[in-house]
Amino acid sequence: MANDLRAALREFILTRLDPGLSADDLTDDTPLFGHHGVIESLAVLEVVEFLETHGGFRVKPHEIVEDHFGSVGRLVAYAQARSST
Amino acid sequence: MSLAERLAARVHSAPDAPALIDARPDGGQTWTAATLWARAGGAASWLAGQGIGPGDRVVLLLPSSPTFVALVWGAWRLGAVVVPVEPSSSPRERRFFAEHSGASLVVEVPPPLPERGQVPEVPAPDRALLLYTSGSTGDPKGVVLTHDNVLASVHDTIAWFGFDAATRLLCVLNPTHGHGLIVGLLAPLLAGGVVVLEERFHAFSVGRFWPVCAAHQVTCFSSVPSILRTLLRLTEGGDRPASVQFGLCASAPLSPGFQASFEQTFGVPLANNYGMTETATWVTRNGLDPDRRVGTVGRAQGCEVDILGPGPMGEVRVRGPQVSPGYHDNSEATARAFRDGWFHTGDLGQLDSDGFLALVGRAKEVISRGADKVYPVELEEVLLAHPAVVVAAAVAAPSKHYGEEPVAFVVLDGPATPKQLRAWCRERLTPFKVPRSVRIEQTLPRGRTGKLDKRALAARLADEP
Repeated sequence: MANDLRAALREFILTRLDPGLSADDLTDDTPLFGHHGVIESLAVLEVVEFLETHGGFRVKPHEIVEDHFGSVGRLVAYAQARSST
Repeated sequence: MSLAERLAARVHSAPDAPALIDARPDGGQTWTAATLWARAGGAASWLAGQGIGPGDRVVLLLPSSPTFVALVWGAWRLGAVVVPVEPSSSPRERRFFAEHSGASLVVEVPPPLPERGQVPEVPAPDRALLLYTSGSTGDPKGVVLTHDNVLASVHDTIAWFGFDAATRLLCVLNPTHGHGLIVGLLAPLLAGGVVVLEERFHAFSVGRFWPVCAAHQVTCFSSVPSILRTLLRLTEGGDRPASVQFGLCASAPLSPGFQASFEQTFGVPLANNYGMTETATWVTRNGLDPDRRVGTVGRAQGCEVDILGPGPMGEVRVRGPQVSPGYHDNSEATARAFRDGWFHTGDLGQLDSDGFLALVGRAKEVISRGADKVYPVELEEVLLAHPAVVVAAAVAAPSKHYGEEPVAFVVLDGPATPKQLRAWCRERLTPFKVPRSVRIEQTLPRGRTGKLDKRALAARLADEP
């Protein structure tokens, strides 16, 4: 499940949010948001919608933090944790 | 009276009253009015040590912080001109701002400021700010604002919204814009109220918005529609603390339907306003019920606003004490926009019988991306500087989150991919100006006179899902 989500998330980021990266450059640890992030800050709304659609859970505002949304790896871990609760 | 003298009067009347709360995640300190004045003195002392004196331009490439606030007031206590610039500007843009403004000092890293310092007596200053806006003819334009311009705008905002010592305004806007600086930072401070200073609104600050309001008993906030959209989508109506009485909004269109949804969800009335850098921000304001008209940007206050045109709809023009004397070192643009005693905004509007202004479009080409303006020509010039690009056209694409976003169409005579062209733009432009996508075409549509038909390109984007 984690690999399916990771692949879908990577495709979403690369095609929809277009961070100007090649697939090889977008790793699990690439910073997505913030000062060194590759995605525009308010595009977080699109990531939230993606997670809610694919994960079937509602993202809470206090969960939109770097620990959960900082990178692909963190997003996948967060979505897995939320889906299992 | 100068801005520093006005702040001194506020400090003198209530030195121990809180003035600035640093609500950023790594903040925590509260400055009284006396502390703010002392820190401004420390900043002035540091700036003087860098050789800064009356009339010198100081470029501040810093994010919103107490140090930024101290440097702004410190520079004004020295009679210097503040040039606040977006910290995410590209190296090329940074060079332009420094050179064009004739800066004596560029501050890119928060300096270690003394807590207080001796400030020399200076002659009454004229110019307070040089604010750069995207240019409709390529390079950004530096809007000159005098102390009188800024004070006129501040006084109108204070009077209209009733700011006083009980006001606690949450500032989440970029202080390099007039909206963030003049409405968000200066008006509450000079009203005797408190600025609750947060980081510029971003992805990870969404969840902090209402809790910060609750923690610091915020009474109002200033915003742009993209912030409101994010709050409406990601936070709950019950999150809004009772202390928040109203929200201010400007810098991009606010639809009546969206405004109603926000107000119903959070129980907070929004006042939608209109202005621009050249008028030291707002020239028309909506009040709160009953003195407002949803769907308009309010009524003129402290200045004259009229419509230039044969019919009821035409170009909006403004005159009054907050109108800038013109653009720095750009007599051509100044002559075009400031003429016959009026500032010609380039916006199309219509006044109703009660004087409420409804905006209906733009006479000038501009893309409103959230709170930021992107002039297509600036983006096109960067693309045309690429060796493979022979024709470039930037137009507005509808955006769910930002209202509009720039999209570029290009014709090539050499190898280049959309990704490479976006990277080219990213190296040369502030991130918000980088096109959402670059489309490579064999040819671009032209009108009868041979001019690029951008309406046809925009229509193609509007029809896309």
